Amino acid sequence: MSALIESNHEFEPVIGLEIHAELQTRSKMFCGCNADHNSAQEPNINICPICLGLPGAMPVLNQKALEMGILAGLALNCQINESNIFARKNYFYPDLPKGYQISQFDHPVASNGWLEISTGTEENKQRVRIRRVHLEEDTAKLSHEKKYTLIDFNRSGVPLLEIVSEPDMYSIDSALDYAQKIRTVLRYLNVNSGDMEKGVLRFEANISLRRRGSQALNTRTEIKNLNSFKAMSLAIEYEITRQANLLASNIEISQETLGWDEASGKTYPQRGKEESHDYRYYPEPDIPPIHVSESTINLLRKQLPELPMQRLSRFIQEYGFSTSEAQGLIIDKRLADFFEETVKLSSSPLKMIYTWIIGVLTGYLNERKLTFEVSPVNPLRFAHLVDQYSSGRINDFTAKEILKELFFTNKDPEEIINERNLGQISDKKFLANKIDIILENNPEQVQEYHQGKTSLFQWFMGQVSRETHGKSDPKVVRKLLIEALLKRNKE
Amino acid sequence: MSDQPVNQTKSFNDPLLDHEIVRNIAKLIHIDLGDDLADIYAHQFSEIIGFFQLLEKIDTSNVIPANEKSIMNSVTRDDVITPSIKQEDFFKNVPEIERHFVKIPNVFDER
Amino acid sequence: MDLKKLTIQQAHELLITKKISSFELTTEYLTRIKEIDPIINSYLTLNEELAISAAKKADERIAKATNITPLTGVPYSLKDCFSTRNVRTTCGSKILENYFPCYSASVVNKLESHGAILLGKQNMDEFGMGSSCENSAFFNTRNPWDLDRVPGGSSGGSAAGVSAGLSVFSIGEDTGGSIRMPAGFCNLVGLKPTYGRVSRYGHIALVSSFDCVGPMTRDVYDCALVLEHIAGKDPLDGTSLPDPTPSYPRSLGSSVKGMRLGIPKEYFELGMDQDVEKSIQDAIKVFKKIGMEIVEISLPNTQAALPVYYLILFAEASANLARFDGIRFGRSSRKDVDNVMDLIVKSRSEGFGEEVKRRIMLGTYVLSSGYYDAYYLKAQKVRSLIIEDFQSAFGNCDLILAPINPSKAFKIGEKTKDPLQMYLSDIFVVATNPAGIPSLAIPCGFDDGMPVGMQLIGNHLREESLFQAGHAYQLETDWHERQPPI
Repeated sequence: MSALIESNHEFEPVIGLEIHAELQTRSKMFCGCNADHNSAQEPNINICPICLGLPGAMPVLNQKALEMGILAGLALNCQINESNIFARKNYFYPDLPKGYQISQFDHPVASNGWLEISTGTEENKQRVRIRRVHLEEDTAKLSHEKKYTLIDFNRSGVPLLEIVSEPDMYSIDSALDYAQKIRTVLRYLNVNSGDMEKGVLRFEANISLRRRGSQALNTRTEIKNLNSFKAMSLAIEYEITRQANLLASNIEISQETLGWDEASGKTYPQRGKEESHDYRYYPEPDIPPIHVSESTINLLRKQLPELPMQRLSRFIQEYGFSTSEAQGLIIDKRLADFFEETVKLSSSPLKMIYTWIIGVLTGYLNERKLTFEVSPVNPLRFAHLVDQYSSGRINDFTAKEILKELFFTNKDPEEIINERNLGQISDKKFLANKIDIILENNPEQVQEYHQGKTSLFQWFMGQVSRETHGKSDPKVVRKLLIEALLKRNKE
Repeated sequence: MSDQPVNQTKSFNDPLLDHEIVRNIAKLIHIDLGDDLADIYAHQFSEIIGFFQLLEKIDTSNVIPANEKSIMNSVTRDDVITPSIKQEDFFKNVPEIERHFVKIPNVFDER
Repeated sequence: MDLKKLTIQQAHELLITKKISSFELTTEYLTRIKEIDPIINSYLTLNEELAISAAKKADERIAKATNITPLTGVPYSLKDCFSTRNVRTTCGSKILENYFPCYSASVVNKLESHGAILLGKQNMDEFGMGSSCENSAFFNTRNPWDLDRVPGGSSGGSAAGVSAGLSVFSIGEDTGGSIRMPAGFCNLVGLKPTYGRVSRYGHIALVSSFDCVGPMTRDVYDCALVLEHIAGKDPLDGTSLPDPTPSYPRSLGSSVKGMRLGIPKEYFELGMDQDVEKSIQDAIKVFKKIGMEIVEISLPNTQAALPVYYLILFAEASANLARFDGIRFGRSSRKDVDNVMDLIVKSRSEGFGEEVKRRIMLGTYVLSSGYYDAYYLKAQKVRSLIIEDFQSAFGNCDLILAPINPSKAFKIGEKTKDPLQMYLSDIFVVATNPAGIPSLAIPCGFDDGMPVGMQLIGNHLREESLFQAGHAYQLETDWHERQPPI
């Protein structure tokens, strides 16, 4: 965090976040067009009179979007409002075809919830209050060329969920933690894909500074269009510093809407915003108030999966993981699911399974730009592989090679090991013989080793591995090699 | 956080509409009024707004606004994809197109 | 054949008995349009080619005698506020002067599936904003009964067209009297159905909370027939009612004995022209004669209906017209424009007429921060009271009788100077739309050669009662059979 803030015990930052999440529905919010605008082959093909805002077109609400909103509200400990009223938010902009956005104002899907975040230390938990969760439609996409602007309406009308927090975060880390936890929760609910690169999650940050110990809030600024965690934390940091500098020089902070310039690393005021503050909200007449019954809410409550926080606690309790180990697993629901499936099917120790998933499989998936959701290696074959390793049948090296192969074949590890005789060599006599040959053929290195160059031990290990095509049991080799070198030293 | 206008309730006894107000409204709705039109409108508005004062006298304490009561079963649609319209049908009425995009002059102020 | 007199019922009979083909009928109407409409100016766009080909298809269908409806082969017109695929749709505005929609309104699709023949799109006050058709951006329409007078509005073209024998029926739209007023001025039957009875999808919205699509016909029977074929739930219109559509014509002919007709005392205290009042009183006598019970009722919030109606109208219209920005369709003023905001301002400033601008501005004002509670919210609350008024009244009666206009059709140009005066003359028709209830306009007399109409107002989804009483009235009278001189 800014040195100025840390050393300046006078002020602390007060941060609130607005998060826009694209919902994973098939169709758009108010029409049946395909909502998957990221996969569209061409601009302006997932379009119809409704999402184009043509005269005479009328919106009808996507039931699934409403349910997703309610699920998110429940997961965030909110009150689900019985009466859902959509409202027109009126302003002019070329990406807004109707000249108003259908959103929610007085009667959002859910309100008054909270999310627990960690503020650094394990003991220091904090609740960030969530003011509201509401549904709205996305705008079209603009791309600016030098002398003109182009509009693509594929994104127009895509369902969005907006989550608004109270200004309850007092550090960048808190804000990051909150944002990441929201992302995880939405992933768990299958409400949002969490794919940051596709821009499915967007942040807006409200920042002000206040005197430590005081409850009074000062003028805040709002930074819009932050599309990554990195952008968010850099922008907030910059803005905190900027405000601190102004205050230090006794200059007032003006309430502004700011943009974030990635290239220069600065926030900048956005022009033309003054007039847009009067949105003239009023209830959308084409969508009569929607009544959400108790029974609907209860039905959806039953559909809630185990939520991240609950799973975290359970992993710590049930599997004995540390908090950070457990967090590493639960942050991606599919990863956690994979882990638990594997544990059920495997006889290997938990920590070993953990290591092989987090330390090895995750890396291989990332290399191939795959996620656990679409992993070609399923928990069953993975469990078999780990079991082969833990039983000593294959060594570390061989196991990794087989794992890579499992990406391309449907065969079970057992099959592969048998077919190619990949069983680990632990035969002492055989290995001792190999070691002797290697040491015999490399007298200089043996001498250097005895003279103090101990790093050559690894080199010898490598040679044995090469000689045995990677199949030697490293534990046995290590022991034999030490003995052999010792014997030669005495000679 | 989200822009919620502060609805400090103004009363009907506020000064009647003047040209400044009319011009500001014209800006909001993106219509250009010549000066003389602003004058005419201001005068007419004052009359029309004055006529609305009739409502002030009616007691509506405890009355729910008509548009906030659901008068029928909520209507939603299933989350299924239905056919989109053809791009060329849409483009028939679009004033300017460039490579499958709708083309407009530069957007200067940002949102 | 007198095209001014032909009803749907009669046309259907002629068509299925092969006394005339749809092609012949359609051609006759098109000929008459070319002859007469240059005087009346009721049509904005003629759909000649497509009408002829549709007529030929209708004839094939009639020849096969399968899947025919009473509307098959019958020529009709549409108020130009309905989206018609590939047929110019202007809404009476320059901003849509060259707009050819890529889709059709649900009601248009329905009529097409029944085989009705679209002759063309009829003139209207720009975006439905007006009561005389004088606010059309293109030209005035003349009342066939007196060419110096207005036909009423905003469905003025439709009314003048049907009245002058330029189509058999028309589909109009009523937001605050826009079907009933011109029906009254032109001696037609016009129905504002229950809100949501007919789909609004594809109708270019003026006031989403009030707009109602409805038929304009020569008699009550035709009106019932058309409603039967256009009503019903539409999944594309979230406000359309799920209630099943009764066979409306079946309700005609049932006895009206014992039906209670409410006379709202506040309406008669408001005052109207002598001849208009006389026609209404005569009508009451007819209803009494056919066995209906006359009851005095009260609608205490009558005076409030005008400000409630106009406040909500201004607010909703201002938002509904925000989509006209010159970007995706419509007038796009790109000359000497280097940024998009200027494009939007210029397109709208050049494309919208004065009354439209005035209403958009007023609407923006009443919704703006600081005024929302006092104006819009207040209007919605008083609207609840008006709805209650009608509910109580219908506790004491089955139907309500009211005038439509305080006077007969006025002269072209007489009222355009003072918008407030125009608004005030809507007093009898504006209460039904905020209440969402149906109202049927029926000819009931003449005032110095000009038609006088009355309206029968019913409770939510009680169109059958309206048709019943209206039909019974028409059996006793012949106002609706009179024809304009043209």
